[in-house]
Amino acid sequence: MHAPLLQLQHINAHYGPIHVLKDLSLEVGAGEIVCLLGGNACGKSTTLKTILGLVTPSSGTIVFAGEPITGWSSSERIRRGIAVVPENRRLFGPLTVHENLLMGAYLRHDRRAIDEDLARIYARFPRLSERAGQPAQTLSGGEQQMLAVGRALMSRPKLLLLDEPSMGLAPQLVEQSFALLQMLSRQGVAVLVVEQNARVALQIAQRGYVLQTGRVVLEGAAAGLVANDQLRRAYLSRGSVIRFSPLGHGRAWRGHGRQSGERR
Amino acid sequence: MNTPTIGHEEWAVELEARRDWRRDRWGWLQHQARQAPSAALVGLPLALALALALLFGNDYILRVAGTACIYGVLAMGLTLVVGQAGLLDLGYVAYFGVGAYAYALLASPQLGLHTPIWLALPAAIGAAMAAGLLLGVPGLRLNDDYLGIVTLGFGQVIVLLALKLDRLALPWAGATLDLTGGPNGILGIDPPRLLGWAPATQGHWLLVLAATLLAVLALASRVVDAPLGQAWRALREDPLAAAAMGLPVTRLRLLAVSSGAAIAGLAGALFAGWQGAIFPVNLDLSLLLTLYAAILIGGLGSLPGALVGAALLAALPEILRDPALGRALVYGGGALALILWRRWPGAALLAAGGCGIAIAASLATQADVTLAGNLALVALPIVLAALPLVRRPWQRLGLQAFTLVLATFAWETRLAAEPGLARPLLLGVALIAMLIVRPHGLFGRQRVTVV
Repeated sequence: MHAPLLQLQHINAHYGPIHVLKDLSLEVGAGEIVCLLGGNACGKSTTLKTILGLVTPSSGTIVFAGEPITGWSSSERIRRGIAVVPENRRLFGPLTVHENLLMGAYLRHDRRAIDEDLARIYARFPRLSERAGQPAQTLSGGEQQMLAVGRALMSRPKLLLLDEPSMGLAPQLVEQSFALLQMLSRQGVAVLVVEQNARVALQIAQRGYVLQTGRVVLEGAAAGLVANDQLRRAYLSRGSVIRFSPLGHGRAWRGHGRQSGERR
Repeated sequence: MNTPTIGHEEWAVELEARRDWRRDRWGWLQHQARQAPSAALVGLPLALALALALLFGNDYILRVAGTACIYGVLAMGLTLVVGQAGLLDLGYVAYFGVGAYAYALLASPQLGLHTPIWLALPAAIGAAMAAGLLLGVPGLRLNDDYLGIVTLGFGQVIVLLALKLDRLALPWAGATLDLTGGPNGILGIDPPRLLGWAPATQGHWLLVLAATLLAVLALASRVVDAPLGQAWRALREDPLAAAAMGLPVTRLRLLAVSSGAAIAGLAGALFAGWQGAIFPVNLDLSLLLTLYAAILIGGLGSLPGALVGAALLAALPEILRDPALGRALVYGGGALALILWRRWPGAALLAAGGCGIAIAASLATQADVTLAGNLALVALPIVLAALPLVRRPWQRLGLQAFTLVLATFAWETRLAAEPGLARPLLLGVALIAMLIVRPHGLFGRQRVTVV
């Protein structure tokens, strides 16, 4: 295994009286793809928010690239190389594609390198360069996914967090976006992906963690998890929680500051 | 306000249509507007209007132009806070008041201080910014309507302070201090004197105000195009996503509130110097409403829009003061609106005919038609309400003609004679019509919901 890039050690987190994360420990190595599985309201998104510094843990430490970052602000963490593709993507709807990408690089001040990264992202996603001047909300679902990933990459992350990237996407687009993650990982970006769609996530991940009510109940190599009876029963059986969102991807993400994905 | 709902493909088609600007009625204007930099777009007509006012204007016209400049500066500051950063600030006029009173206290006989301008003006701006931060820090946790309520209350507190601080008890001196002059305000405020020159005539003042306007416009348009402006718009759209991108949400909000407050403070200080006096009445709610109307008409978040809106709202009430001009405006505007909006040349002809008949009738009789006019005013809303119920084409046309004649009659007999009543009414109607026809304002970007 690689040297761990990110380490969560015995994290506890509370929303008021509700104990959301219970003694949670996990690791992501450099360039590794790790998936975090679990059903509704088991603390997956909270884990990501804790890593990003949007939720303050009540105890435990977070170590990133050898530094304890537990008390740091989100800006400071993002500057050190953590980026997120939020649930439902949460693009800045009326802002143009170009402006959305620039927001991803807000904390950087190296103009020339930012321009190079923009060019690289436009080269990787030609659709985005065609639509650079168009409001982000007018993109199709797949294009929005590209833009959300592109926006996250604009901060030159060492670790990319993804919150349910398959949500609201057609199966073909899910395949595409997971293939993209594999490519990023080959280029040395570590990926931590939160998914309900365990089947797809385990196909690309090297390791996985399974959360249940805020606790890690299973962890190990992806191949082992696929073979695990318990997980198979809970997440991989036909007609179980493999998600189909009746709302699609359209409306929820327009809410202002509302955490539409947080179902409790 | 409902936003139109369209699909992706439809949007793409519309984008093509928008690129092909000759097809659309507004297209040509919008195309030109997109081509020109916004500063030039506003600067040129502004400079022209300024030159005309200075060459041919009397003191009255110069004063109106000066008011337009003050409104313009204020509206630009407000549109930064409300339109760009998306913070509903209903206490905005308070910063104007703080700036005005701070300048007045530093440069008037009130406290016997006559601070030079290079000290008094920054102090006034600083005081307004401090007031903005004072409110901004506790207001940071509030969103949307709640922020609006708190700031509205704050605005009223400032007015109350201005009213009540004329008998400030000083326990250590055993006396009371008259700080703000209460309802009588502060009088004899020094004009800003820089390098031995102070504006003496209305013409001078207009130059000072217009220069300020241009400086604020230049500064604000730079900010809007800079990463800071982009970050404000991102914050407006989705604060949580902005935080997840690492945007310093707290700092950005405080920056928005305090830069708006600084601009308002500057406007307040200049206003106090121009008027030579400042009263609590100057800070009342109508100024806030005027400013919000200006930025809504111009298009929320747009600087040229704020300026055009401010100019309209400064000039329109003055134009409507004169019954002859008001008449021309109402009939001309009404006919034009009918042709453009409904594509209904027949109605415009009817309007022209109807008003001809009405004017002829009122001239022929010369009788006291006040009672008839009142009746027409009462009948008008009823007829307007009945209008959508009638479906048969001929009946409908007849009723429409009748409505037009009735409206003309009511206007001629009652409203034209009483500008005090007619002005707010017409402004209100114009604002409503504007928001129905073009909810995103003259220069604003239309919001669409894409499904």
